[in-house]
Amino acid sequence: MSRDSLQPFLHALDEALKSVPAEAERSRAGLVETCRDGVVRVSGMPGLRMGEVIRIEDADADALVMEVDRDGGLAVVLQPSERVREGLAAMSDGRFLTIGVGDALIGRVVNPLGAPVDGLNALEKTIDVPIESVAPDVMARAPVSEPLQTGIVAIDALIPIGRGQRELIIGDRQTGKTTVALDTILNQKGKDVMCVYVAIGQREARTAQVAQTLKDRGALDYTVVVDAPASSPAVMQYLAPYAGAAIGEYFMNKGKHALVVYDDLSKHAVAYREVSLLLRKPPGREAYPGDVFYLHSRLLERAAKLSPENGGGSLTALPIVETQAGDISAYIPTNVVSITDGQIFLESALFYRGIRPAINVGISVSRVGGAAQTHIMKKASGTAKLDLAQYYELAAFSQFASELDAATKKQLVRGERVVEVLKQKANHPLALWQEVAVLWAATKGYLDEVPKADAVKAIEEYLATFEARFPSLIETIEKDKELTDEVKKDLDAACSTLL
Amino acid sequence: MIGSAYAAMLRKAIAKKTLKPEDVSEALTVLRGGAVRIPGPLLSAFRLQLANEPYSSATQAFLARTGGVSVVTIQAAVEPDAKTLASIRQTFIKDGRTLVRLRIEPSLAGGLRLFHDGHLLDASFRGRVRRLIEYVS
Repeated sequence: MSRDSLQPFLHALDEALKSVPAEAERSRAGLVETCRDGVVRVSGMPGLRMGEVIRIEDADADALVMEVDRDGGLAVVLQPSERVREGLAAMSDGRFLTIGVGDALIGRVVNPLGAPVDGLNALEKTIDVPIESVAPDVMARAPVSEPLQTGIVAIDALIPIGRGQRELIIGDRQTGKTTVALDTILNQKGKDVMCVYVAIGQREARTAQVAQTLKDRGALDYTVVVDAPASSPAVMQYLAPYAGAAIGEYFMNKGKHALVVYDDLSKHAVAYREVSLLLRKPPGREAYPGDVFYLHSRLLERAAKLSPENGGGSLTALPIVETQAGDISAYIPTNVVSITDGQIFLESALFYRGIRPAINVGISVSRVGGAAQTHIMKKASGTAKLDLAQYYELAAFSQFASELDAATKKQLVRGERVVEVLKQKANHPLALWQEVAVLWAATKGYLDEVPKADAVKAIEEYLATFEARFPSLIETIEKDKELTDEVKKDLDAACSTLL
Repeated sequence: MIGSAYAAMLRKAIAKKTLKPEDVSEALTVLRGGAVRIPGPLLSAFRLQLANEPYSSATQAFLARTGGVSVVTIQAAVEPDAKTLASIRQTFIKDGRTLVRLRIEPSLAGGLRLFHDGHLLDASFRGRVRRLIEYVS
C-alpha cells in the first residue's frame, strides 16, 4: 500500500478519534523483552509485585508475576498462546490472581482459574477470592474435635481423621491412594461436607473416570473437581491446589465443613520445579528450588477447624504423595509428612497380597484424629490395633515353629479375621453402624470359627442380615454414637445370632 | 568496552591535570566496579556521552552503577532516520540520567509508542485503531 493511498485512511482515523473521549490511563504498562518456554521478561515496569497478573496485549493471555527486579520482572504465561512474543506491551491493573467461588461450582469440573472445563454452561453468581491467601491464625482456630468418617474401616478405627485435620495418603503407584481419597468423598454423602477433588498432572481420562464415579454415586452433588491435567502448562498445575484450597475456604468461611483432596503433591512439586527452573531459580536437592517446603506448608496450613466465633467451619486436607519403591524418606515425602498431622501409608506388598485398602497400620498414624473419634468407634476398635500388631509378630515367628500352642493359634486366628474385616472393596465405603458391627464381630472373636476363606462372604451376609433384622440397633448407633451396655448386649446378640 | 573507554578518558583528564584529588578517587572507584551516588564532573561528562550513543545493556548497567538511570523505550514501526532519532534523544536525555532505547515493531503499522516508568504513550496506528474499536464496541 502506497503512502498516498494510506493518507486518507489515517486522516479519517484521526478524525474519528477526535470524538473518543480522552481517558486517563489507569493501567501501568511495560514491554515484553523476551518470551521463552512460557516465561516472559517484562521491562519498563518498576514496582511490579509478586503474584500480580499482567495482561499481554493482542495475545489474549495473562501472565503471573513470579519474580521481580528493579525495572520489571519475570512472569509465567497462564494461557498457552502462540501470539505471545517479544515487543508486545504488558499491562497491569494491579490485580492479583483470583478464582470465582460460590455454590454454583458444586458439581462442576473447573480449571485452576475457575473456568468450567466440563462443557456445561458458564458459571454464574460467583465471587472472586484470591487463589493465594493467608492461613487462619492461631486465635481463629479450634482444636480438631469432630470426626470425618471415611467409610474405610481400617482408617476410621485405627487412623481416625478429624474435621480440620491434614492427613497424608502416601504410597507407591498403583496402591490405591486415589481410591482411599475417593471413598472418603463418597462417604460424605448426607454428612454436610463439601468436597473438592484437585487433580494435578493426572491423565485426563483418569480424571474423567473419577468425575464419572462421583457422578454415578451421587457425590458430584456436593463435590467440585479442579482439573490441571498433565497436558496443561506447569504453572496451571502449580496453581491447582491453591485454587482447590480457595474453594474449600469459601465453604469453611460460611461455617460449613469442607474436604479437599490434593491428588497429588508429588506432581505439584515437579510442576513447581519446572516453573522454578524456567525462572532460573537456583536448584537445590533433587533440583527442587529452596522454597519447595514453603510451597506445601503454606498450602496445607490453610486447612483448619475454625473456632465457634469464626463460624465453626472446617477445611480438612487429604494430600496424596507418591513414593518410589516405598521410600518415604525421599525429599518431598519427608517434607509433607512433617507438615501434616499424620499419614496413611499404602504398601505394594499388601496390595498384591489382596489386602485392600493396602494400609500398613504399623507406620500409619493420625496425630490429632484420636480426639475426634466417635465414642462407639473408639470402644469398638479398642483391641484391633493390638490384635493386628500381635498377629504380624506371631505370623513372622510361626513360619519357623513346627508346633504352636493353643493361645498362639488363637491369636493368629484372631489377627487373620481382623485383617479380613479390614479388607474392603473400592468405592464401597461403610456406614458407621457397619464399621462397628464388623469390628465388634472380629475383635470379640465371633468370626474365629468362620474359615478364613469364607470370612469376606460371611461378613457381607452378616451385614445384609444385620440391616434387615436390627434396624433399631442401627438407629441407636448412628444417632447416639455411644457404646452403652445396652448396645454392647445387642451387638453380642446380633453376632451370636448371625455368625 | 565501556571500562576501557572510561579509563582512557580518565588518563587523559589526569594528564591534563583537570581533576581534583576527590574526583580522581571517585573515578577510580567506578573503574574498580564500585557504585557512586552523585557523579562528579568527569563521570557526568562520560555518562552524557554514553547516553547519546546507541543503547546497550552494558551502557545501562554502567549508568545504573554510576548514579542511576531511567530507560525510555521507543517502539517504532520503521527505523527512524538519524535526524529524527537524535531529536528524540535530545528530548529525553538530561544529565545522562535517561537512556533512550529504540525497538522496531512492524506490527504497529505506523507511528510510535513510548514506554517509561510503567507508563505507555501510544501514538501508533495500531493503538489508534484499537482505541477506536474499543470505543465503538
